[in-house]
Amino acid sequence: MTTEDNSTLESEGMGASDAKLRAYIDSTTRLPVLFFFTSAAVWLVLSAILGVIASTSLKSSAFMPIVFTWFNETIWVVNWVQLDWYQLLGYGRVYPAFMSALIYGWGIQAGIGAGLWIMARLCRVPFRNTLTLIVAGHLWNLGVTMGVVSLIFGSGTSVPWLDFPFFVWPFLLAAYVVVTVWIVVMFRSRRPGPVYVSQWYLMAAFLVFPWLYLTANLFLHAFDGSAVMGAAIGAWYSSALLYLWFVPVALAVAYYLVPKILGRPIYSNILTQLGFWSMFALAGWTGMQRYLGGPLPAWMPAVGAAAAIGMVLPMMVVTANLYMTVRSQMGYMQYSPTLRFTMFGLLGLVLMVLVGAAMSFFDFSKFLQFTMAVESFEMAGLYWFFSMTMFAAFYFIGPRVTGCEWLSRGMIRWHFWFSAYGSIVLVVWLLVGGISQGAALYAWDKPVSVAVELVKIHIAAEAIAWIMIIISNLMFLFHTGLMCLRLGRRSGIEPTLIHDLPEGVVGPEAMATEGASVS
Amino acid sequence: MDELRKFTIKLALCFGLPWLFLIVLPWFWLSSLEPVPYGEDDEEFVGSSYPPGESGLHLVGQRVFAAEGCAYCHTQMVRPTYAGSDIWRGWGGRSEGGFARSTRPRDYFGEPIALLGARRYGSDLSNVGWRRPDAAWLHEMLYDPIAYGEVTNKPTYAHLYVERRVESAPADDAVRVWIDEETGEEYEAVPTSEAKALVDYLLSLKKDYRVPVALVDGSGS
Repeated sequence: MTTEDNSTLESEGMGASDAKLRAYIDSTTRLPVLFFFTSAAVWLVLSAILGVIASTSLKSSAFMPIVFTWFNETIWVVNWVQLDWYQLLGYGRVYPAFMSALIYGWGIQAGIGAGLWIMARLCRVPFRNTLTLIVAGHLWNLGVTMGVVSLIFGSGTSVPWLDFPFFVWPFLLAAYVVVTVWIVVMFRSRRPGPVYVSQWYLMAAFLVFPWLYLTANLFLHAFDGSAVMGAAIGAWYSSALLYLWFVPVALAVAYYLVPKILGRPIYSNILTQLGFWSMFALAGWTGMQRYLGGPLPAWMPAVGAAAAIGMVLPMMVVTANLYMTVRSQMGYMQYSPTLRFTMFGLLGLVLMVLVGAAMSFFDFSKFLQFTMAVESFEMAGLYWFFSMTMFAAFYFIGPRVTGCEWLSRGMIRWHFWFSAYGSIVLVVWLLVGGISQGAALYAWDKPVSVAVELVKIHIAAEAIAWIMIIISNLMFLFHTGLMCLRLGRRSGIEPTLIHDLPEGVVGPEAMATEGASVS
Repeated sequence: MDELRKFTIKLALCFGLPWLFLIVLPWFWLSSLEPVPYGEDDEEFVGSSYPPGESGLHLVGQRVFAAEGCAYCHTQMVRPTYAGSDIWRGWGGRSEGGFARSTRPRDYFGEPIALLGARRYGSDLSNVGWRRPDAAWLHEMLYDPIAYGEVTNKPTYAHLYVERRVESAPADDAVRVWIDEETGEEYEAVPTSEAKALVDYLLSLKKDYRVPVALVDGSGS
């Protein structure tokens, strides 16, 4: 496998024909990419709202009854159908609905949108038959909607990340396979030239998911077998989805955007290769450490724990590689939204893998297992790292597929700060909360109620973080909507930067020249 | 060989190995486990087997348990003492007679999926059938956990109960009976079949059967 950096694409030819080809490719990708992006953004807001409801309903304080009464009294439809809000919005139903909306509604759709566009650009082939992709997108959204609604109405499976009832997975799988076929077809019909590491990451992620998803669902819903293996497969699935889908897709985006923005090659080819293969060799073994000390043959969680500790290596290699690429030009993070979101996201990757590794040692898992620290780990991966990187991709891709520039730098700035604040509070506070909750649970001479009482304050913090994230993403959704309606700044001018570059300073090549206007 | 094929083979190896050795083969192996008859060393248990044939587990109740997302706050997994303090907390089973122990694969026989749980916002339920053998208490905790006066984050599951006016006398299984202040009429809350199934399921959670001596030092399964 060759892993040339993406920047050579830029330097190979800025000729007119090349620019025309890019603009043509972008115009063919417009519909499907915008479809996946906007529906993902809607799901993100929905899931964040569910996240707030989940954390408040767990506290069962005076707050929720007031909201429920208000709903029933003010919205006549609600009053008419007589919904029982306690039933529908209890923690046990809303929490899985929230996670599923976040993973399948937001995460995977955003990844598909970014992946499709980057693949088309790097293979230098236009989309054909975009209608099929749109149909697949609708099918996916239908599946997720059915799943989330049936979770709320009480038919979840209580297997984390696989909560959807049994009839949902064929829809999701069918839709996803169509996308995978598109990715493979694009890759096979690519124009001669170097293959970039982003393409390999995308190929791997898109090829592994159907295999993973089919395996997990067949063993859970179709085959009748060992009960504890069902739980183990659930744990393995969620870890593999994180390390073999969310991480590679976000890394593909980072490896594409960073060199592109800065107009310079990736720091080290060897690190790129090492990071790639060590990750894929280890990731499939992780997951069962969730049940360290559980009713499984002891070697299974032990293998998972060892692999989860091993994952520190590839993640650190990748982070170091990207950091070294940006190092001499860190200052541009002040100006380029894309660069800022990407580099901030990488911090989340480091935190995630470190928390994940820590939870794999008995000394720590004693305290951290089954506490909020698990959520901290998941949110570091899903929100801080993955979502931030996807926002970076949106900010880069948006102008290119719509032909206009982002309207407001203020909205980008607020989107960043609210999201950054939200993710820091989520990850750090949940980790601290997890440690104290775990210590209280471990102290066996004290009643469980000590730990229960202690959780409350952290859950309140979680709710505040989700409110921040809702605010930030409502702004983002609005901004994206404007772009889709082509109400952004007209093209022909320089891209929207967070701050103006100071007088006399010329930004990196792509930041300044490759706006939406190439046509 | 073209680059894509080479890549696909390498990737298939990377993912296929854990898929085969961590998922598929263990699944066949663990699915083939049988109950183990007690041997001579097990003294008074000779003649029966571990786990006993009828699990007595209420599958309808487990479905309710899963659908209400109980597993997001309650685990059903007791860790050995080197991995946590579960047993010292008394979650490992009957306190007398040395039954308390960590959970094993055979304890989950008869369940479609073992709901080992995600987090412990509440206590472990592996042996709640021993710890709280009181249906009325469980109903009370489900119907109105706050009023019960314990420190809890537990949401109410009042939707599993029917609130209705008392016709002649309160039902035997009424969780609560009260008098409406405005009308002066008597009301009661009675469990639905779902609530009863859930409580039956909770009462049936007893995962501390004596492990045959032959298994204790054996494969660990």
